[in-house]
Amino acid sequence: MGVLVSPVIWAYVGINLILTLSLYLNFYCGQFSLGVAAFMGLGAYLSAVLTVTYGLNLNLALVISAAVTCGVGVLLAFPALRLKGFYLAIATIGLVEIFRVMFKNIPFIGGTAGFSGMVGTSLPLLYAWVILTLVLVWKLEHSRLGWAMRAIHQDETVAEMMGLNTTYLKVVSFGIGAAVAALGGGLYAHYMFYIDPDAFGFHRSLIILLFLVFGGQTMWGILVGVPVLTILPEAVPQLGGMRMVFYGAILVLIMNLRPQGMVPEDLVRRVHRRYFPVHGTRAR
Amino acid sequence: MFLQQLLNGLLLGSMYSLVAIGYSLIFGILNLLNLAHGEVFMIGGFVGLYVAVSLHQPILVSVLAAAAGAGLCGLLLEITCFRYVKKEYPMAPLLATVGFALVLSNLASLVSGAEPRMFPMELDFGYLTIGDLYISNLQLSMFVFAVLLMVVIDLIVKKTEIGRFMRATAENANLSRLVGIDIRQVTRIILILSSALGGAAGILVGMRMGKVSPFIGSTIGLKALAVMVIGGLTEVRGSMFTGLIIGVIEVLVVAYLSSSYVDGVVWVLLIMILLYRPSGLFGSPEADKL
Repeated sequence: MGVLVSPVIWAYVGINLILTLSLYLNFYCGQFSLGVAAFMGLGAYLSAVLTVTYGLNLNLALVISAAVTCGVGVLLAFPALRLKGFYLAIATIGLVEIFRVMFKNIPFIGGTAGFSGMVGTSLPLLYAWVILTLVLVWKLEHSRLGWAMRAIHQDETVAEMMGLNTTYLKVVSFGIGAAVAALGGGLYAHYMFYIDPDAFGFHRSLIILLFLVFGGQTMWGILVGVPVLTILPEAVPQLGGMRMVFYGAILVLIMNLRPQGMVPEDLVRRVHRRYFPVHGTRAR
Repeated sequence: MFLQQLLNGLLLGSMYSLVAIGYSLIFGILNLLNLAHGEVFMIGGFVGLYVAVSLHQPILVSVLAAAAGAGLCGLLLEITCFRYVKKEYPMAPLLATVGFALVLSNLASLVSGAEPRMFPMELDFGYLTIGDLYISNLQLSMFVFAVLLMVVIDLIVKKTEIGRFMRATAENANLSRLVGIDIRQVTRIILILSSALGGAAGILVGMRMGKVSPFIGSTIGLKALAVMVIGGLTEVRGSMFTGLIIGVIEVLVVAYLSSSYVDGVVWVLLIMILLYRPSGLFGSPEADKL
């Protein structure tokens, strides 16, 4: 159980929480996007260049890179939104691959060799960002904007018929998701001290998808699933290089036994109704 | 010179086609995305390499062994990712294949090491020259073999009874079940067939590149996925031609632009196709399942 006091593990948990929240924002609005690794990479490289090359303060660099990535996300959202379901998933896989090839071909950020020299994170700082993100996503989820996004998740045609501006909502969810992914990427870059383009490949998106699906695509699911899946492989030292095999096997098992995830929405709702009866019944 | 590049492109493209057909068989008939296909392809490469190098078998035998090994993977895939997964969750089989892919690629890298395994140099069969054009006999025979396999698949889908069942399932799975087609059997056969095809492609691509790496599935496999989409998802013939086209484009990009951007080209094409013609180059717009 030594891993539970290891700061590195908790840093991984924090970073994975932020990245999973980013993907959650897209799924929350019904968008099956796998572009999180691309935005994570963009955030990581932007913030690393800002702190290392231009000597900026870390927090400022994180905010700037998140803002820029949000802009990029919004720009990419307009073409991406014309696609649905599998098509969007495949197009965003393409996005990840294109970004990776781009990172490899920019000598300024180290190309294939990667980029290093980032310093300055601490666990408290990291968790301050994690809590800030959690609170923001929580607030969003319980706002009118969040309900509108949920409506798109349930049924896009109906949402549109109800007079919701679905394009606007999807662009917003894409943009915020990109910003959050960039934040996670920036923190990752500064905690790892070293980044290279292959760290932001398609596999990164898959792992984050696994975290989200294991949890059941809810906030509570993320809070349960990410720590469990991050710590478990480390807690079993015999696993060694088998970590990815373990993740893959877990994903196959979950899909066979409990495809809705550990803490799915109806479970959250049931518990909520049980302990907050009035509020629970009125909300739904 | 240009003709030579064109020829190299076609030879490269035939490999993409072989892998992409596996995707479109599954997507076209079962309407399922199998993200483990690239990894099955990689397993085929390793099995073939093992049989050819360690067991000293002729190439035809190792291609057959690769197809058999990959076909077995296809059966495993059907059992773990499709048979017991509930139909109420449309994402579930897709995500299960992602898990299967992670297991395959990382097991392979544990067994063989993360470094690529090389094919021995004695696989050089000399060259054929037509005018100014050079073709290695190995590449030529692979191209012929690839085309042959594609024709066989096309015939199976279009002419045989099981092919008719497949097309019926593609048209309407519920109605097919009503008229007595065993959908599970069809699913199983398609997964085994497409995987075996992928496995044969695995050894052919491995011989062409001179090496097999555990993570080839996420480069060539993913590219073939893009080829499938560009070709029009459900169109087996679309995947064949698109693979050839992509091969030619990539070779031309390397020859006349830059080799470092080559892995991005297919994805840029993919996104453009999705935006302007989502039914793909060869798909008919009404068959579009957007």
